[in-house]
Amino acid sequence: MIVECPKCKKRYRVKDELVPVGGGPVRCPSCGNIFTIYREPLNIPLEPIEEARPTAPPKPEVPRVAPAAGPAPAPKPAAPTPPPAAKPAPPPTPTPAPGAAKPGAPQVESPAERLARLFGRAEDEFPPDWDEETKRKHREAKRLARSLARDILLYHRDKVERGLKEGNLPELIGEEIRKSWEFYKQKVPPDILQSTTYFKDALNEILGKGKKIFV
Amino acid sequence: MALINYASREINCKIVYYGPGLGGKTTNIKYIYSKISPEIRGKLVSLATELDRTLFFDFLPVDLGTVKGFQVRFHLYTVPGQVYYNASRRLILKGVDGIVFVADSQIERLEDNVESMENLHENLATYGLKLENIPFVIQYNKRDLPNIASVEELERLLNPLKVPYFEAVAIQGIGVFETLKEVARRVLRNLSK
Repeated sequence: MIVECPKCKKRYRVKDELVPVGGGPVRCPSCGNIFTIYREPLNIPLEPIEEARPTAPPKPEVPRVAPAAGPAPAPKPAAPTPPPAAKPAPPPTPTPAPGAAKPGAPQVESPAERLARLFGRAEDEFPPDWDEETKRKHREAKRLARSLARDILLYHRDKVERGLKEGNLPELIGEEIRKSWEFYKQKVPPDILQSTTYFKDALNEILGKGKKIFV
Repeated sequence: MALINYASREINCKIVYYGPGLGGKTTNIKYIYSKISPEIRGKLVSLATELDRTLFFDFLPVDLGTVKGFQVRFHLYTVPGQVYYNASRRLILKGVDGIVFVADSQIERLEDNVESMENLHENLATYGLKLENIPFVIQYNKRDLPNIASVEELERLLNPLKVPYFEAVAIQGIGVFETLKEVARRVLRNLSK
């Protein structure tokens, strides 16, 4: 599909499959403006309900994160191959699993769950034989690693971008990584520290933009 | 817990601006400082780390009247927002009388806001405190930027306690004093109990 920066009006081609189901922020390479792009609506038949009785809490499928100026619905590009009969199946997304909710029980989405859905991030997957407490600790370690990586990006965006370009990212932000690692080590139980690569994974995902820079 | 100075007949109240890094806490404090008359305000003190700063200053509002015969002096603090400065953040929360959470409205910062809010709960818990028992308001800052989440979304993620919130563009001073006045009002109400 094609998207247009609401600020500088420059248009870009975007691969549908890269856009999270709930939409996601992108930075315009031309003017630096950040705006949200959404997938085109799916052709899922929707049947109107006569009278809506609030038996179940509403489950909004479309996140309500709305930028002040939403990107205009982009017209289909003329060039690409004929549209497939069915939309490609969306990548694994954290749409609430039907089995997850207890029937009848009011389902309150935690901020973490909602964020995962908004940003189209898959839920953490752990071996099924882990108990809840172990899963919780792992989830927390992952979250902390990601927070620390986001902080580095936030405070050193210019260095990160330069490092990616010049191929010397680990040297440029080495000190920040060291401090973050020290903090991470203090907070995360030793067994998780030794058995996982959450910290490195977060650096690669958030700072390396998915490239395996930190090994 | 407010500190009472019997010699100067003042009650000292500590208001802490909390929130994710680069969200606008310092901008709030600096704007307030710039608008308060030099006769009633103290010095703006900066405890600098390499990147993040803790700022504080105190002032004595002239139009507040007195509480039980004492004048109220407010001490405004920011905390460093970076995740790994948690020890400083916890320390600054000690003896807090009121909290302003400055959220960054940008969509890309939603997660950081949520993390910071959880961190606030955790740090308060180390002092045996609960946010619901502390005068508290939220400010949704940077409302002028194009890539912001709706207030409804922010409320849903950050404000289950349903405390008052303010939309702000702190860099232009919009919403800054509204936020301060509300938290101050709540602190005073708490004191008068």
